[in-house]
Amino acid sequence: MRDLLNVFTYTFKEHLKKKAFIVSTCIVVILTIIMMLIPAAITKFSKSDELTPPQNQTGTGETQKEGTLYIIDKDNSFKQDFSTFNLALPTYTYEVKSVDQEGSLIDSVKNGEDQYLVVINENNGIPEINYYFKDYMKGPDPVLLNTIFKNIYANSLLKDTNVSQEIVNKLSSPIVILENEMGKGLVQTQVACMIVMMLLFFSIYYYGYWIAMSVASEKTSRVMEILITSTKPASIIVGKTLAMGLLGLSQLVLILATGMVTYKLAFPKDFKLFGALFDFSSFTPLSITMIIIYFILGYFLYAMLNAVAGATVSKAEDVNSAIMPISMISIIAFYFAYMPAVIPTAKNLSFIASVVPFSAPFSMPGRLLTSNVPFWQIALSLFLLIACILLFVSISIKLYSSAVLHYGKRLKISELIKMSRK
Amino acid sequence: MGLVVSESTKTYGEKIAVNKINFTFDKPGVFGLLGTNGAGKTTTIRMILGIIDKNSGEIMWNNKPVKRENVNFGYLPEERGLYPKSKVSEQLFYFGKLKGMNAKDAKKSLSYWLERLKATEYYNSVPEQLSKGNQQKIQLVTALIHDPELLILDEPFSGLDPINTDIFKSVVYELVEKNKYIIMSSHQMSTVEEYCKEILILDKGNTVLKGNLREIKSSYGRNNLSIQCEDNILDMAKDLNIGLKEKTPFGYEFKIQNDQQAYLLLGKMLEASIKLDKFEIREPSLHEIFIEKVGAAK
Repeated sequence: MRDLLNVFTYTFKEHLKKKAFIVSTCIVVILTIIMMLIPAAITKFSKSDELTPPQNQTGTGETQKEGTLYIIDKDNSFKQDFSTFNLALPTYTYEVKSVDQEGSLIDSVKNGEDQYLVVINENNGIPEINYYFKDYMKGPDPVLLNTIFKNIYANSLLKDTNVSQEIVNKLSSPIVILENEMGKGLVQTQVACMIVMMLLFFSIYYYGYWIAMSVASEKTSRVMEILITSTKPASIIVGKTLAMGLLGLSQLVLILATGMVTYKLAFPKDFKLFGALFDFSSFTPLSITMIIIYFILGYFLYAMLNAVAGATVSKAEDVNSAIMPISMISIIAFYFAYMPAVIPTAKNLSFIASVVPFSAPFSMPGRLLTSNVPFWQIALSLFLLIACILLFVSISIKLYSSAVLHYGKRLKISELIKMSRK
Repeated sequence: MGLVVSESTKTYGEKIAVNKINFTFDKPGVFGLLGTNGAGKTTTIRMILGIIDKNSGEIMWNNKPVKRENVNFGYLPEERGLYPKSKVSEQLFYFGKLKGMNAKDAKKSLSYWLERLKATEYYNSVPEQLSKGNQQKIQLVTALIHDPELLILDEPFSGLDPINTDIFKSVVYELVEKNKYIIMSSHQMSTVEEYCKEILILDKGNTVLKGNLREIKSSYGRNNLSIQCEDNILDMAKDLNIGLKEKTPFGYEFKIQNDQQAYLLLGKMLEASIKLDKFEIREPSLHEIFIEKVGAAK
C-alpha cells in the first residue's frame, strides 16, 4: 500500500509538471470558453439581422422576392384564379402561363436561377401537380405548395357550391397549435448529451493512451527494471493508473467548471438552436456526479487494458499499434452508445448500450441527461461495470507482470496469455 | 549466510536460457558472473532478483527463498534505467522510498552517495543532459541508496572514463570492506580478476567453469611466458622447443612446459646481450581461460 502511494504520488507530481499536460490543459480550457461564447456571438449577430425579417412583411410590393413561380393550369382546374397565392407565399411572384410554353419554361428552370414551375393536370377529376425546380431544398417547399394549392382549390369548389364566404374563410384559416413540452426537451438535451459523450470518450481515450505511453517509456528507458526490483508490479500498474486518473479527473472537472462559469456569465438565456430553447438545465448535481463516476469507472476499465498494451512493446513508437485493438473496442463502444442517443426511438438499444461495460461509460451519462432512467438500470450498469473492472484489474496485473520485462518484438495476445500462465 | 543457487533452470519456449545453474556465494566479497552476450547472465541475475520465475531449482538467501520482500538487494542494470526527463534528486528519492526508506534517510543517503561519486552538481539536472559516465554514477546511486546486503552490478564499468572507473573501483572496495555481497557481471576480464575471488562462466546457458579464481588459475600451472624485447628471439625459442603462442607489438607470448625451459631461454638471451624489457613466467590470465573455455565450447 505504501509503495502504491509512492508510485501514485511520484507519477502525479511528474505529470503535473510536464509541459504537455500544462499546454493541453490551457488549450482545452480556452476551447471550452470559446465554445460557450459562440452562441452569445451568434445571438448578437442574428439580433441585428432580425431587425428587418422578410417573413414578417405582408405587403406584396415591398417584400424582397426570392424567385418566380410559373403556373400552367392545363385542365383549367383552378379557373385561372390564383389571386390568393401571394397572400400565402409573399416571397415569390407568380405568373400564369399557357400550355404551349411548358417546354421553354422547363428549360428556363433548368438553366436559369430562382425560377420554378408548377404544371397542373387533372387525374380522375382531381388536380395533380408537377413541380419543377433546379436544386433540392431551393425554392418553395413542396409541402407548403400542396397546402396552398389545396386551399385555393377547396375555396374554388366551395364557392361553386354556393357556400358563404365566411365559412370559406374559416375553413381556409390554419388551426394554431401551441406546443407545451413537459419532458426533457429533445434538442437542448441532445446537444448536452452529445457534448458529454464526446468529452467522456476523448478524455477516457486520451488518458488511456497516456498510460500506455508512460508504461512503454518506462520500458524504453529501462526504469522498469529498477521499479520491478523495488516493488510489486501490482503497485506500479495500479498506482500509475490512479495517478493518471486523478490528473484526468482534475482536467475534466476544470473543463466542466470553466464551462459552467462561462455559461453563467456569458451564455444568452434565450439562445435557440433549430428553433428550440437551448440550455444546460439538465446538468443537475446528480447528473454531474454520475458523469464523474462514469468517467472514473470508464477510465479505469480502458486504462488497465492500455497499461497491458503499453507493457507489450519495447519502443514508444510501437504503442499506437499495440493499443489499436483497445482503440477499436472503444470506438465501436462509443458508436454503439452514440447511435441510440441520437435516435430516441431505439430504446432497447440504448438500454443495452448503457449496461454493457465497454459502452456504459459513454452511454449512461448521455441517457441520464436526455431521459429519466429507472434506478435499477443505473444500478445494473454500475454493478456490471465495477465487476468487469475488478476482473480486468486482476487479469491486467498478471499480464503486465509477465510483459514488462520482455524486450524485443511486440508480444501478441496469445503469447502474453501463455507467458502469464507460467 | 549467503546465496545458494541450486539446479536452477529457466526456459523461454523451446530455448533453454539457463540450464541447471549451481553455485554458492557464502562469504562477503565479489562474485564474478561471466559469459558471452546471450550466455544467460541477465536471466541468472533476474532469477536471483526474483523478478522472473524459474522453471525448476531453488535460490536461497540466508536460508530463505529469494523474494523481493526477503532480500534487501541493490541492482545496477546493464542498460541505464533512469527517467530521462525527471530531476536526478527527485527520482533517486523516489527509488529510495520504493525500497522502503523514510524521507529523512533517503535524503541523507542520497547526499552521501552523490558526494562520494563526485556528482553533487547533478542534483537538480535531468539524466538526458548528462554524459554516459555521469548517468552511470546516478544509476549506481539507485542501487546503493538503501544500503543493500546483496548487490548485483551488471557491467558496472561500461562507458566510464579512467577517472570515473577509479571512483567506481574505490566504491566497490568500500563495499567489500563493509562486508557486502556483490555479484558482478562483466566482459572486462581484468576488472573481474582484480576483485573476484569466485567466478562462474556461462556459455549458452550452461556452466563451463566455476570456483575460486586463484585455484582455477593455479590448476592451469605457470605455463605462460611473456617476454618484451626489441630483438628477434624466435630461433632461440625454437631451439629450446618452446612454442610461440602469439607475437605481440612489444614482444612474444610463449607456452612452456616448466619453469626450467624459461630459464634456459633467459640464459641464451643474456648470453646474446639482448636488451630485455620484461620477462614473466605466469599463470594464464582470466581472459585466456575464458577464451579457452568458451572458445572450446563453440
